[in-house]
Amino acid sequence: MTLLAAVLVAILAYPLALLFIKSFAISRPGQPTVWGLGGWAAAFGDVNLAVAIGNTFYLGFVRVTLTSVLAIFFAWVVTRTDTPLKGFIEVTLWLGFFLPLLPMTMGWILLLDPYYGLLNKLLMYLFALSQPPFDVYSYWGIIWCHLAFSTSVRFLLMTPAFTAMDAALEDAARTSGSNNFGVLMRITVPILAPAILASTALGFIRSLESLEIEMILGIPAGIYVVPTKIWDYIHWEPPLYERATALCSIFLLFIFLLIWLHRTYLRGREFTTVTGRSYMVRTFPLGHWRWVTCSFCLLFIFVMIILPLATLVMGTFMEFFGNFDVDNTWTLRHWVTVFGDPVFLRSLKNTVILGLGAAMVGILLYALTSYMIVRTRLPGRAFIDVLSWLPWALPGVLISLALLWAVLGSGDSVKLIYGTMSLLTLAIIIKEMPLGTQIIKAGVLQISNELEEASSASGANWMTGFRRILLPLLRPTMMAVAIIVFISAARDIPTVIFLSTHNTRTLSLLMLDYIADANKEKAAVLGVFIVLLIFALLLIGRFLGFRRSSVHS
Amino acid sequence: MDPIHDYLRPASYATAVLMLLAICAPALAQSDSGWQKKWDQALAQAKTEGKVVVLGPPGDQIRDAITKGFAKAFPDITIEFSGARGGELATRIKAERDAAIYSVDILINGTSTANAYFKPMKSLDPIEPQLILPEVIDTKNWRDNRLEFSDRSTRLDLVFATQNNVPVIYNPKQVKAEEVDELYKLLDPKWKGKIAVQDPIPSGTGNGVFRWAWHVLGPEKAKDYYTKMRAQAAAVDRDQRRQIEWVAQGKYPLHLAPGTIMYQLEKRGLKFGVIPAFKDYGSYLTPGFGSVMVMNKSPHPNAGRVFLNWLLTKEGQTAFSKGMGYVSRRRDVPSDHVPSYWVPKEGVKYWPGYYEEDAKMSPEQIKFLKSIYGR
Repeated sequence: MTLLAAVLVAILAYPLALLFIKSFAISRPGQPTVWGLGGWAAAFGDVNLAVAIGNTFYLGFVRVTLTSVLAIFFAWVVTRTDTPLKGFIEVTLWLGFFLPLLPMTMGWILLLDPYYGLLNKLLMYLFALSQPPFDVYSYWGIIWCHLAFSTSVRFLLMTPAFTAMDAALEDAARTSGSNNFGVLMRITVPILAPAILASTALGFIRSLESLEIEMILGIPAGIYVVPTKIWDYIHWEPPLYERATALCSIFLLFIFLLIWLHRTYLRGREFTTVTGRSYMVRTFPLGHWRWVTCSFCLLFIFVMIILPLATLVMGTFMEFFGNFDVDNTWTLRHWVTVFGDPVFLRSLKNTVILGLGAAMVGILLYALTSYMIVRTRLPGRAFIDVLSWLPWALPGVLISLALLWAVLGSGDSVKLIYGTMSLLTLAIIIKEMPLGTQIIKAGVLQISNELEEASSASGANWMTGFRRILLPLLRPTMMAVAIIVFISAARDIPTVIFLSTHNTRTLSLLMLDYIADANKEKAAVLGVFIVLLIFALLLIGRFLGFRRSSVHS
Repeated sequence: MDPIHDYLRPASYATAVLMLLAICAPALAQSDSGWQKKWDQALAQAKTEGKVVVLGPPGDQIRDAITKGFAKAFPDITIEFSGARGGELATRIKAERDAAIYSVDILINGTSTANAYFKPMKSLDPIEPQLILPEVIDTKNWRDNRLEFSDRSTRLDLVFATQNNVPVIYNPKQVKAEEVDELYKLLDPKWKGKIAVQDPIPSGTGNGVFRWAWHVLGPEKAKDYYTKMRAQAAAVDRDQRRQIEWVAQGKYPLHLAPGTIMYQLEKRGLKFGVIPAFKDYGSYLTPGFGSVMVMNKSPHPNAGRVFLNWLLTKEGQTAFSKGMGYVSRRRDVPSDHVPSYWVPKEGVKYWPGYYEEDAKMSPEQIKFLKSIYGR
């Protein structure tokens, strides 16, 4: 455990501290270092910053409120009710998380652009409207385009907690006369507070950091947020990393506030739902209401996932996404050229190695870290807990930069990992550390100590208890985290940008090549391919035994 | 005039030429074999080194333009190409060099990347001593009878392509070319709310067009123009493809500073009209990503040398020009595959805005632009 703490300090505290220190270096890249407060002063002296902060928190608050309600509802429907087509609903909600944000937003623009949006045109024609009813370039346009992804990720994170809950608690409430809604609000949600809080914190911070959709839809509407300002500084020539790092301190302060709230709420309470006794996960009959819940889920899935996904797939077969006026509207060229790209196969191989490596090593590290924070009394575990949240405060490109400086500034033995897949794997593990640790931590909180005590009483050491008791019980949660880490590895461009070389290029960097050439269609082909790849791996995983069991004991 | 003299004069000239040739022949032969020997040596050592590492901008077009031709010409030397933005490349290379890691041989990029980052980093070697092939060294093969450098005094960044920068594109169904073919016509009230303007603050074409306007108008008039253009603009955006599509689809009829991707999009079928240069103020010349640097302490110096020489031959330049649609500075490279609006024309005023001293905005200019276009 001490070794683990040392490793965490080395991979988290050292690079981040280096980044913080270098935020006071105000010289341009390549010139002798000059120290000063200029970067911080310029970042916070920006007259438009207050508006950007206001926009950021407003968008984050609305999104988190909406997605909390939706994700809890979907997780409850899928795990605790007899709603028809639950399997289909679950799998398609996962799909919502796999979909690439940029091409999906292009799909929404094609439907909701006030000038040429197909849905706007249809509604104007059908109802003889003089104005388009929707404008995707607006606050609500941004929130709408985020809804499928944000709800899906929170659904994915909450479902394991809903699964690992003893039905006896809900039975007791029902026996006492409570209805289904009352059980959900008074029993299910409060008991699952750690998982819901962790996913809410995740959702809120991810909302604050969100960039792609805000860039595409916000800028034409004059809606600027803190991440677009950070992006501006990073993409300035020369890049102004010190200002970008300074602005990240806004997120850091917010994270400290969240940690405090999280701890205050959880302190002194019990959230154990898995004990030494056998427990049951049973679905509850909703009667006729099951058709209502089913219809609502299907409507959400059709409107928020299937419709833009169909638009996205269609777009990959168009010369120009959504443009019907060019001579050769339909083409297979983008698919042919992507798969014929000489670097495609190497990039695919690297992506699979990176994804599997980060997912496997990552979940083990996150599980050990969670165990250390929740179960042990080691001094410094509170510090490790705080440390594990920190990567959320930084955009991927700054994590990449911090690792570059940390690795190249270290001894020769550490430098050896520069230019290898190991360094990219480490970057992705660090980037997803808060998510992995917090979600698995919530899972550990659900499992009673008595199981490990029984194992210890039977003569097993802590490692055996961890491996044979805790890990199997955490398997659904760890599977969800592994999927998220794999997807992050497959898609993430900024976190690997400074660390990849010719031999360690990934599909996401190939996607960057296509975006640089303004060929969004080829980027969308890769996006769809990554979705298919992940889906295939997921199905293999389910086939090999990672299915969620209906009864645990 | 003495007829004998007239008769003898050609004969004596011929004799003189023959004598001169006889004297110089060994020297010429030596010079010829000199470059050949050097080239053979470099090539043999390059094959031993096995590979050349080239950094450039991101994009599969430029990757293909650079790698395919070289791989065909020198199959025994592997080319490793990686692309990233100038600032990212500089940050990475600086960190590598601070750690005594030297991984790169050749850099192909824009001139601002060379002068803003790599030159101050002292990471470049002079280019001319690396040139071996006579067809590369012979200045008669290059426009203006010279090798062009963005840093004219230090000659570290060789500019091998320059083309006209298109300032405006328009939707021909909504605009007639003669309505927008002069700089100030864009300020006509009828275009208010109808122009998509490429953001002039970050580096790129928007920045280039606004720098050019500052140069041709002078600070006071330029400030006035910047302010009025901001009032005319329907959108100030950074997504160039989106803005070009807006024009092609008619959402906005005009786009200021469309950049080099317009060529790729036009080739794929988007339709729009082009104002190659303003009638009154002309336009400016840009190398785009058409400049090359040699990194010092490079890991494969001979392979780098072979690549550099190949890139600057007719063969290398033709491959690059065809891949990117750029106008090579070599005279013998055809330009029939290049869009005509990029080829500089006789009688048009062009500002070569890529020289080191002109390549960045003044503090006064940046401050003013931020006050108008900042967000």
